[in-house]
Amino acid sequence: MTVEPVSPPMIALENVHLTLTSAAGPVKILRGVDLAVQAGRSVSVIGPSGSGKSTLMAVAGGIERPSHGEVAIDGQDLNALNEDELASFRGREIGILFQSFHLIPTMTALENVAVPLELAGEDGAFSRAAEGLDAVHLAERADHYPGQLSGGEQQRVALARALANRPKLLLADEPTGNLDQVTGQEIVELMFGIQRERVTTLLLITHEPALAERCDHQYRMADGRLQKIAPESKPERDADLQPPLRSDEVA
Amino acid sequence: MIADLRLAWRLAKRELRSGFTGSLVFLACLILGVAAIAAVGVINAGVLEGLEKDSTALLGGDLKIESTNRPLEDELLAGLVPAGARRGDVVRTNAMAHGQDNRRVVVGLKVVDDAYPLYGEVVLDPKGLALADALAEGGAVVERGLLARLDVAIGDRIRIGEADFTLRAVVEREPDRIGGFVSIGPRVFIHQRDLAASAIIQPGSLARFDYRFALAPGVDTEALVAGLKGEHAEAGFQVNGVRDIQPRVTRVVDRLASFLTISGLASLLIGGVGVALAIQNYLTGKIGNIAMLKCLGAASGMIFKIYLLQVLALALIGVAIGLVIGQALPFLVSALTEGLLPVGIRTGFYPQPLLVAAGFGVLTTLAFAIWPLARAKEISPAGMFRALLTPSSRLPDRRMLLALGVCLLGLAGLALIGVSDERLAMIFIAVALAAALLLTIAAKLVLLATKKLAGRGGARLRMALANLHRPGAHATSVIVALGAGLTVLTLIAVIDHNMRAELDQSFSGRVPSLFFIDIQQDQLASFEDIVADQEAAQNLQLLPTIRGRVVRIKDVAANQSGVNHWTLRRDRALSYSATMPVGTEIIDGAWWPSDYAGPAMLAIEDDVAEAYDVAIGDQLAFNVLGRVIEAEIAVIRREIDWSQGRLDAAFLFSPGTLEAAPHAFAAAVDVDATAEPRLLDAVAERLPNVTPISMREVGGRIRGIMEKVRLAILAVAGVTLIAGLLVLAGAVAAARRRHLYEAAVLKVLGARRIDLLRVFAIEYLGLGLVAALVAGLLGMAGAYVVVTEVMHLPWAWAFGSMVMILAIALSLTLAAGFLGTWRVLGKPAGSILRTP
Repeated sequence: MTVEPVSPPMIALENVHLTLTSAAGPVKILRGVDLAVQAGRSVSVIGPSGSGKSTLMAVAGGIERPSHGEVAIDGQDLNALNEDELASFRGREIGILFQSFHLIPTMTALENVAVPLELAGEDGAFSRAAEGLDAVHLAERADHYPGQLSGGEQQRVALARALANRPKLLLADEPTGNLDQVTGQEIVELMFGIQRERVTTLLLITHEPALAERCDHQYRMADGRLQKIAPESKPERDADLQPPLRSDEVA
Repeated sequence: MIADLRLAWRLAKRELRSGFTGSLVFLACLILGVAAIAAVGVINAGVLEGLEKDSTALLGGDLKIESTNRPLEDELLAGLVPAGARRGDVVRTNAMAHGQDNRRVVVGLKVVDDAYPLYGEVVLDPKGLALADALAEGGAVVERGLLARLDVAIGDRIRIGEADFTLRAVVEREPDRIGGFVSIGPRVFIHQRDLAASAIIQPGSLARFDYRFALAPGVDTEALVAGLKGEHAEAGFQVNGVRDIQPRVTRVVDRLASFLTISGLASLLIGGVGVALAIQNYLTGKIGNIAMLKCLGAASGMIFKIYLLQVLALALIGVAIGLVIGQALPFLVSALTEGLLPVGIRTGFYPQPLLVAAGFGVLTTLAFAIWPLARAKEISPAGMFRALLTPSSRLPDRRMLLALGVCLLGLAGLALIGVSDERLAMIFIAVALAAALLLTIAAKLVLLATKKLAGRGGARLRMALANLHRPGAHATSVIVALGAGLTVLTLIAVIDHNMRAELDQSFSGRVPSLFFIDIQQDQLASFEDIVADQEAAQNLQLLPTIRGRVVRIKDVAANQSGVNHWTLRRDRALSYSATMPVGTEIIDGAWWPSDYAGPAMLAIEDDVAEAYDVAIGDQLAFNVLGRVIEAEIAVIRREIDWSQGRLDAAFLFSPGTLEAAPHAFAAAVDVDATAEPRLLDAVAERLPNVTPISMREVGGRIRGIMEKVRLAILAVAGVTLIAGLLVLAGAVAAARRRHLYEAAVLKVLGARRIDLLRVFAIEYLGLGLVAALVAGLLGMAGAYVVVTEVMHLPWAWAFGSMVMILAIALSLTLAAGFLGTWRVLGKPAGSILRTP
């Protein structure tokens, strides 16, 4: 049932290795990761702490350079870009959502959302940021500082910020990890809703199997290696949560 | 580019909303240095302006003709200046004033006429009393300090020479007095008509006759002065215009201002370390934001701009406050500097020194900000995923290093502009660079040694020492900054110790304790009798002295020779001797035979020969009491060692030439302190015109001046030390977060507060010890060079000063560490560990 892709995959990782040097010697974090995700699809990665999930995301976001292997986002070879080109590519094409929100404490919600637009030199940064806040139902908290917002609200601002530039790729690193169940659920609904609506590609890292299963494809990361676990082994009980899947090629 | 900057400024403003952590240290460092430099600049500009405006008053006229020991004839004077000029005559000499109970003080006597002062105003106390009225009918006006010394009050009578005077007033301001020079005694004014009665001036006694002129409007003063100087190059008098007074004063002011500017600059540079530390500390707290901005698409150049703008904004605030203080300070300190500066400070608004100070402030900030900023812009956004954010340890890129180089060059350039003494500025730049390098190397070496030591001690010692060289520790910065302050302090303390030792040696040791001047030839026998009668008086030396001025060197008029030597600035004491004075060391030539009776021969010192560029056989011409005398150089001898207390003269003639001129004798006598008053009494009674100079008193006066100078220098050293302390405070503040966490974890593991206190105490004691050690060695080495090579004084070890500086360093670091960690100790561990 393989469908031949008509355009390059949104995420294309080929034999990616990453070794970090530490005082105790080199640490192999990624050991030959291959991943291809078509545009508009959602992919989840689960795995134990220290397995390399977040590093995989950093590599996909052009934040960490692989020691070896190819990384292309939307057809752009990231290895060919220098630090500053990477930064502006990220600003245009990629949105990142963190577990601990990482809002800039000295900026209001609106300013936080506007920053990526301002950095990309977009016109009307603030009106577009206001629209973004509206989309996460926080229009009335636009002038609040992060310290004045609840955890859930902060993560909604972070979501609005990650999506402000209408990126083609959204990277979410345990976005509900610091939130209670109800609030986390709200964020998840918002995130998937906007992802579907804008046909954004999503790479989601999570510890929660239920959340992972909402994605089109599920992978497990263990010891620096990536292994596909669904759709083939998709658990029955969550089947009703998922739209019917097309199987994509995964190398 | 502009859009980029605007965006960077917008983002910078947002960050600044929450304040700038460590901004207090940052601002304090900057304010201290900028204020010091601005204040010195404003004072200097004020003095120079005052000098410019008051120059005729300071000279006493548009033109001054000065003759030593010999009054000039009216016809001669009338021929010198165009008609319509007003003339005022002043005679200056030294004399003995007698007060109550046989109290005696040598005074600087100023004998004036009704025309005095031609320019400016004499202010007396009681206010409103005119000088002419005060001096009428045998009146005298004195400097305030004299009243107590003679135990007299206004209305009392004092005796000067052979005449009595009534004290009418105290002089508050004298328009033609240039301070900053040691005068033999306090000032006393009397009127010319009373001079003869006092019988102070005898043939050959040292007196200066000033003829001051207020020229008629329309006369080209400068041309007149230049013309007179050319025409009367070999005359017995000296022609002075207002331009001649300025170099003398500006030399003193310039040197003082250069010295003070350098100390301000030193404190600014030391404060720069504090600025760098504050920026580094601030950026450490911002690493998360920086990484986030990079995740959101900010290029490293944008990050650099955002934080550079924040630093600059803060720097501008600091510079502005510094300038305001610098501008205001001269108003406050003009009272303190009185007596140190030759003229009063004119306070006003002077943009140029303020601009220079502002330039120093901004450039120092930039020079010290570039490194931490360059590191911040390299922060990797990857840290966001690892909860491990560390500043980059990479060397800044080439553009950053270039910018750093430009800032340093700019600072050096400004130093050359701001410090008028170029040689001093160059020396400062070299010393600053060398000191920074030496301090850094020394600090690194000592820290390396503590690292090796750390493995050997107990747990507390190990932890404390490990804190000094763990990654991100500020030990090197603190040691360099505090060490620089302490080095300056050591240097000054040790030099001071050596100067005091030398002074004590000179004034209470072998040097004759009493000198007498103006002994007439016919009084010689009486004088020798008086000294012989005093058993305690020993080693009487007598030297004939004649005042004369060098007017020609070889065939060139001295004032056109281009030679600049102290012997040419005014007339000098000349003497003659048949035999070679004891202790003379001949470098070239041979002494004349004791029965020599030919044309005048001359012995001069080697430094005079070098400055004049003359050799054996060359001719020098002197004007002695109006007559030009030529002499051939027969002997070049080593510079006279005045510290040996011998009576000698820089120009010594062969016999047969000077004896004919009316002249007096100077004498030197060794006498102990208890016998000194008896000898003084005897001379005063029998030879009232002879002026004694007590070396004990002069030594005391020099010590007094040194006290004042020492106070100024200590203030300067204090400023550099404060800058070092600010850096220490910044480092303690920067370490606070780490202390909090460390204390909490150790408490959980069972450490009591006293255990923690010990660890922190050892850490800060170690810091102080290393800083003091490095500073002590550098300061001592610097002082050794200055004392032995520059001042040519014997070296004395100043262990007391060293112990004092060690104590200062240890108590300062300990106090700073204690204040910084005390609050940490009291915090419950739970509250800290909950919010890492």
